Amino acid sequence: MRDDRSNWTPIRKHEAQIDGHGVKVGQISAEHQVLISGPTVCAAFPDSFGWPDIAAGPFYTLFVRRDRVLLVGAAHSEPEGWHSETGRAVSDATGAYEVFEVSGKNARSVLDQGGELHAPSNSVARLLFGFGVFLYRYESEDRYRIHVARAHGQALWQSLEGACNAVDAP
Amino acid sequence: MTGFRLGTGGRIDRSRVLNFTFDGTRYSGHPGDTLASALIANGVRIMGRSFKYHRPRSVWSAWFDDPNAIFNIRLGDVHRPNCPAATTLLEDGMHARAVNSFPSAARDIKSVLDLGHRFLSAGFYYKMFMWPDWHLFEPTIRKMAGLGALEGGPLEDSHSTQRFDHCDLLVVGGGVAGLQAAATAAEAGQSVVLVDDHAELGGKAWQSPTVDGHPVADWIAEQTKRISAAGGRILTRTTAFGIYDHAMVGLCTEHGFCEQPSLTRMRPEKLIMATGALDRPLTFAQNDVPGVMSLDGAAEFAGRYGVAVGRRACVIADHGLAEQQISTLRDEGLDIDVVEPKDALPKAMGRRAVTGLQVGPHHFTCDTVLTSAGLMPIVHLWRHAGGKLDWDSNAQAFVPAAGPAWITAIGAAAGTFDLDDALAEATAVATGAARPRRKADYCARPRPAVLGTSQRQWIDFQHDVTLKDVELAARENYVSVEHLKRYTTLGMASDQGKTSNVAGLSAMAALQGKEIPEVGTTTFRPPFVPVPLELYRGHHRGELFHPLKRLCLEPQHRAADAAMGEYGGWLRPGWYGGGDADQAAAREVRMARTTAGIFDASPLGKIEVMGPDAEKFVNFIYYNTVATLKPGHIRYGFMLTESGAVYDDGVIARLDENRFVVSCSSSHVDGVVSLLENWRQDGNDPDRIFVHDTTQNWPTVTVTGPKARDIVATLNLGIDLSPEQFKHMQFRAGQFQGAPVRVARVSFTGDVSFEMSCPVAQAAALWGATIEAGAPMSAGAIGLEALSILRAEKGFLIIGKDTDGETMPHDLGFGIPRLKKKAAFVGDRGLQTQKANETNRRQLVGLAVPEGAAMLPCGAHLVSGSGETRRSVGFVTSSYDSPTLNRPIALALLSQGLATEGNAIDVYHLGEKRRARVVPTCQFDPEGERLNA
Repeated sequence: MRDDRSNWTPIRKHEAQIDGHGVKVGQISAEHQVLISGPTVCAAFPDSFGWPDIAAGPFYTLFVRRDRVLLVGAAHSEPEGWHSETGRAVSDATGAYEVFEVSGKNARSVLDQGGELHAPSNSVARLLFGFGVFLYRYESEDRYRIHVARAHGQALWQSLEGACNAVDAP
Repeated sequence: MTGFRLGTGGRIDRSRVLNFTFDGTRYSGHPGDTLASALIANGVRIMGRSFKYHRPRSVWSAWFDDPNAIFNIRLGDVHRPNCPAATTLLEDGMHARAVNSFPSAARDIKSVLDLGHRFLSAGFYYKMFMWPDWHLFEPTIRKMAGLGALEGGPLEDSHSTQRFDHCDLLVVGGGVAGLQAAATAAEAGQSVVLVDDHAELGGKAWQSPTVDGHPVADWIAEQTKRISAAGGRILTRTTAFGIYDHAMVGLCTEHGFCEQPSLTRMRPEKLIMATGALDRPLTFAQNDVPGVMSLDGAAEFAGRYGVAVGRRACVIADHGLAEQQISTLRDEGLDIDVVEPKDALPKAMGRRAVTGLQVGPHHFTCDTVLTSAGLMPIVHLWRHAGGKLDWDSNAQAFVPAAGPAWITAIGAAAGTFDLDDALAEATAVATGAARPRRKADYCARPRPAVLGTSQRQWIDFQHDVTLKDVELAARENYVSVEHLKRYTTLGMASDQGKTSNVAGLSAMAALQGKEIPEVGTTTFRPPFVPVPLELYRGHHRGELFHPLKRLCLEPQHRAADAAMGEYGGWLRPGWYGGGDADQAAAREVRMARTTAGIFDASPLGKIEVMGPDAEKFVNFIYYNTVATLKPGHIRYGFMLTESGAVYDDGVIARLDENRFVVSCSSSHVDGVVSLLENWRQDGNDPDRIFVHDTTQNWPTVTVTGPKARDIVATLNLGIDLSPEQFKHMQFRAGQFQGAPVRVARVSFTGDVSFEMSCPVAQAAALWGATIEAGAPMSAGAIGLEALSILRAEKGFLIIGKDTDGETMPHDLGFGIPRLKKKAAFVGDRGLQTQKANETNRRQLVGLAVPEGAAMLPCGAHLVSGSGETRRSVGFVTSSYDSPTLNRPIALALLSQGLATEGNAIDVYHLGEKRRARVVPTCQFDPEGERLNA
């Protein structure tokens, strides 16, 4: 077996930032992330934000699919596990996703390099730079949040870096 | 062809001069020139050599349909092979060389091959060079084949920007029809993108002085202003090279010879194809002599580049627009004879250049022959999108017929060749109105091929396919259009038949007494024109080409001098402390067996399956019976494919009545999640089963070895770790620093092991505390290399290494569920097949070597018989020097292995034969005393 450690950029620090070319990228700490699934979960969280909605506030739910939401920023009232009275499955996912914020006048141009943002689905789930992510706007039109599986966080960061550098390319 | 620069006209900047070389000779041109136009202006005739016979060639046309002038070009440090001269814009300092010629296109030493053309007709390589052995000739023939050459090293730093984009309407083609449609649609409120592959819009408009009564430049400027003012976007030097699934259009934008092109993946709601039309070459004797070219091409060279292709031309063209083009060329100063061959077969005279045209008894002196057998709509994108073609016998061309609702053809691309008709049509289509009737009548006179002559008449200029070759194909019964193409190689060169397809079909139709459409067409596939391979080198490069998953404890591992490598899609520690891998692994194995090893098991799956039907569901998913698993307990099991082969092995823990955690193998997590989601929705009620992949929410620190319990005890997890209370294959919940921790007593090494999973925020602290606790006991971190040895000593398998794509659970010694499990499960049917019950199936066994012998090579074959009867009956799947046992160990898949324990077996590898003995897979603590301690 080879020692390939020098072939892989060490994982960046949490506070790393990209700032330039009309875009800012940084990682944010989500205090809580909770996956909630169930046949009536979308009805139970009618104010969930999808795409291209603009989420707001310290906590909110994201529309992932017809039977799943992700609660962000607050703990859920039900503990982890299956709840037969409400028909919901609840799992903590706080550490499962890293969350990045991309903002600025060129934020959309950066993300356009990673995926089709005009896709017709209302779900926040899509592919970006080849990674499954949850993508939505937060508090303004040019401010985006991206949740990605933690193990892909470094690769997504590098992808965003490359896209920021290319944003002014013809 | 004695071309020359016209005094005025063209879209070139005559105030600036660009210098370049071609085949070592210096020339000059102007900004706006292509290499082809600049060479014609300098009177250069021969710009290339044909592929097979190395006949001299000049350009046929002025844009992408030219098949002849292909150059390797160097500018500064940048080399690019196979650049079409007619579409490569001239830049100062370019050095161009014609491909397929040496030392130059004008003087090619291989031109002697043409003398042997009788022996080199279509398909000659199926009949010649067979004796004594084709492989003797193959290297030379391969060396002679191919065009262009790569120079210099790889372009490491080059990459293309790639973007996704969307619009309401994509208009492909910036000629008159396209501009009109784009402007109209933009002003009607649609988001419009107009693309054109030229640097300057206008298409064929530059061949005439006016459009719709206005000077061409003014008219184009006005449309451009309309488009931009309405918010439309215009992309020049952009080729729509293909239409792909679900209306995705590939766009390649050039930025200059030394710059990388950029790729846009455009998804329009609608597309208007205004791609224009090409001249169809006329087939006649010696129609490949330099100076024979497209009438439209000549008009384009004059109008766009200010270049006259010759001084005295004969024109054979009999279609509705020819008169206009002839008139334009006469106005530019060409002396033109319009020739009507009637039934005679014309013949171009000259070899290195046209010297005249012979038509029957008449000889016309000229330096250029301009021909057109009619205009062919450029329909490639239409066909990519699945559109059909109809044969228009008036136009003698294939035109778009029924097609997808989102794409419409207009202008010449739709067979609307008259300018006024095209403008009216473009306006109507852009606004969704009905397409108006055409006022003008375009028709082209059919000119069937003249068969059976001794003269060579070229069909495919690039691949040197002549009418005789098509006749040969017909004689040998290769009459279907697909066979015709492949037998003769017609249309298979880089031009992909743009100028040869219809001529070839026409010839085959004449040979068979059919109409052209009855012969059919071959498939059009993207890319429409060659696009540089660099276009696809976007952000997926370097580390991002195949990005590995990264551990949250990676900083800790790097700090401990871990050698990192890919294991199952993750970057994981192979061994610690640097140095030699084998020695480090051996050291770590001995440590783990003596005291304890601590390793990062975070990639192990932690997939939660919940819901009222969760128990029934996991019992269906697993080969083993899971329904009887009690909360707090763990069971080892297999997941099978539908055909009964082992897909994954792992453990499943039951947390409560309706909640399970599937801990599948690290490399299979994504696949298992997909498998669970698929089956959840197939034959099950998805509202009663939910799958949450929480693998990355729970980093895992595993402690294994005789001192494991002592180490974990120092962490104060609030769990009774005694063997009586916490048995092997059980699960407990505890706390670490106030956060939940899940502890599973599962072992992959054969020693007592505790897998501790905690939230990400506590992972570094848990790892650090465990390492600190282990240090005084001489325990420490171990990597994947040591783990691989430890598990092999115990006979534990690694899926995909100790199993192949057909291994079933009973091949691994797990046969009871196949016989006893009543409830349905995935793969059950596959286990009952004849193949599953064959007696000679490969089964997992252990292998031992004689004392003092070296370890067996992994992949070595286990063989039976000798000499002619020797055959492989299995292979070595895992092999190590065991530090615990002080001897080599191995696992293997062996036919009827379980019944041959104790037998000797021959092992064969790279010419060397050895001997081994079949032993049980488990070589360490077979009674399980250490495991259950």
